Amino acid sequence: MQAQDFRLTPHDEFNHTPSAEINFNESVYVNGFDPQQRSGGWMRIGNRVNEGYAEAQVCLYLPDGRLAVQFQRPAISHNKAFAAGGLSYTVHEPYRHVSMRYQGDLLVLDNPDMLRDARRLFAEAPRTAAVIDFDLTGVSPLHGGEPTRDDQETMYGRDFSFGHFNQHTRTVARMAIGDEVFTFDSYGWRDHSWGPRFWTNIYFYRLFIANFGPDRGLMLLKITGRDGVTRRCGVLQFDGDYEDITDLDVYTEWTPRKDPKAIRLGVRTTKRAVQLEGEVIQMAPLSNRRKIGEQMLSSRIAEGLTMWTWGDRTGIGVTEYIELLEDGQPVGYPL
Amino acid sequence: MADYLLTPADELTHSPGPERHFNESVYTNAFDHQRRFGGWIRLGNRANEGYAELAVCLFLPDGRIACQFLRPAIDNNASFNAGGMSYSVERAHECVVMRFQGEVMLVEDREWLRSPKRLFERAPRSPCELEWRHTGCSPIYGGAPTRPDQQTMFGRDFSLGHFNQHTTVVSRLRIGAENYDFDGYGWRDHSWGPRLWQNILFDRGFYVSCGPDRGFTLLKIANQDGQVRRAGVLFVDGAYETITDLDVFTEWDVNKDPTAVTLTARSASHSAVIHGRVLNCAPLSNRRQMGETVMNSRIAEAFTEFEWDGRRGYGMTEYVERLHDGVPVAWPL
Repeated sequence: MQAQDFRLTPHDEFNHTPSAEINFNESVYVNGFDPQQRSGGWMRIGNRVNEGYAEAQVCLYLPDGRLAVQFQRPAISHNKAFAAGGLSYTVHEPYRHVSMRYQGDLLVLDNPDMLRDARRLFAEAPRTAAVIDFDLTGVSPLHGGEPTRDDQETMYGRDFSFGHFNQHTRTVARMAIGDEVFTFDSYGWRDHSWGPRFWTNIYFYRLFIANFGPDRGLMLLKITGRDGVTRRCGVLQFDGDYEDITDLDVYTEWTPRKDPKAIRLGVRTTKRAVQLEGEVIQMAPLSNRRKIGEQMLSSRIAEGLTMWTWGDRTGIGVTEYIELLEDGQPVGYPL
Repeated sequence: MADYLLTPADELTHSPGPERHFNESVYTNAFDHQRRFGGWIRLGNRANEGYAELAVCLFLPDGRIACQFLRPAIDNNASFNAGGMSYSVERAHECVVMRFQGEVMLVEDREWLRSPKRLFERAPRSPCELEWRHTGCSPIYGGAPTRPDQQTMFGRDFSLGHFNQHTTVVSRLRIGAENYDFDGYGWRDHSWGPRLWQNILFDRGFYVSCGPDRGFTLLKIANQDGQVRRAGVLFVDGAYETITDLDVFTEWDVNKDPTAVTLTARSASHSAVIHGRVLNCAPLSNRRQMGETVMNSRIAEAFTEFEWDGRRGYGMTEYVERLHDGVPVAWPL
């Protein structure tokens, strides 16, 4: 992926006119993590206006190991804003400053494995009123946009997001959950995607997003299609600039439940070759189900809060493994 | 495999192309899986330059390396026979025999291999008789590309035609008074076309047998354009499966030579997690003057023990890479 392969304007910070596909998605995602408290989280609104609902998601990793989450599908009738189910997203200054707020109930989990059983989760998990504010200021260039050529591959593939850009950020967070308030002034990442999307169009991928301070970070993706072809893309942020990667190697150690617990990465750009080691310190084992025709497709979406080592720097971020399940088994495991 | 054409005639030598650095080479390796030793030998005809590259590199059970590197004169490419080394095809695609009769240098301290001058002047020498009879236990992988836009395994500027095969090996090996005969497993290849070692920016190659039905040929390589490619096969239950992905992780010693590797490879049918431990390493090198520029490459040849799903295997880990200011360009990846 090179800058000339994508077109991005300030207007792309706002909502786009939906295309005709029933599964048109336009989504914004923000995250922020505090390496001192080893906590943080992410929030996402995905408008699926042609299906009449939004995906509204909150996933917070609290300092004491609990998770505070919410997953809803509030009804929407237009794609003119990101505001649904208690979540709202504001662009204060294109490319520079955005914020996301959630106001509503969160499910507070002592045991993350409750996330493996959605029915039980929503029936049994204790609920607490919450107000979550993430305020994000860009600390890196923007990466991505809309492809400029018909044959230009997009980061996640054209059947997952046609337009897509992302940016590393400073993230200032205030998380009021019941009578507890957690705050941090740290770093994070955001993205914005539009185009047709089925989660189950991803055969499998391994995505790593992390910050190592204001000037260093990573956003790395290894993605494999049903055709068996694997692509590697993403950037290292180094001294504040983005360097597109030219190679990426991934090695994963697993828990008995086939969730990632530790990762080694080898990353090359035209300027450097680096090795990184990550440890997943908390896992949110999510999933997605979608009926397509007569077929019911299921994917696991493993969202792991991860501490990273890159030379003498410590980082924190999220490790996201999405993959189809075949006979209940993740298709990319054990690689 | 539809991308390659291979005939029994390709087992023999080919008419050299006009390029000055046309190379046609055969390489075989063989290892005793019980006593954990073995090595590789290679003969590369460079008829247009008037010499052959002859290499012997044997990792002995006591840790010594028995080696030889010569450039015997040749004036044709009609056969593989130079400097005491010969190669004969007994049955195309099935059985080949490689022999060497001559002196080897016995190296107790592998660091001597970093200094050819000291190696050739001071290393003790001993007569060596080697005969490796390779019988194929796998299909053959590769051949000559069938399309002009078809990438070849090592890149068209390193070998246009190339095929390889896993083998069972009957080895007769005598060094001085010592008898090192064994029955084991190995791997062979045959390449032809223009070759400069420096045309590989870097590669990580793994040529390994885990027995008569299991092994792998795995390669991660960047040629001059710097673009990384992955190629090779998993050898599973006697059949080759072309890989669709490969990741390589390396642990290094203070000299930036590999000490351990972790490989993950995927084919359409299998996912493999393979761990390797380097038992001994020959830190070789190649130097070539191109116009006014002298280009140096390191060629780390590491005898390695692998473990793959409880199966043990032995073979070569080969890291070829250009040196910039004396540092391997791909290190530490």
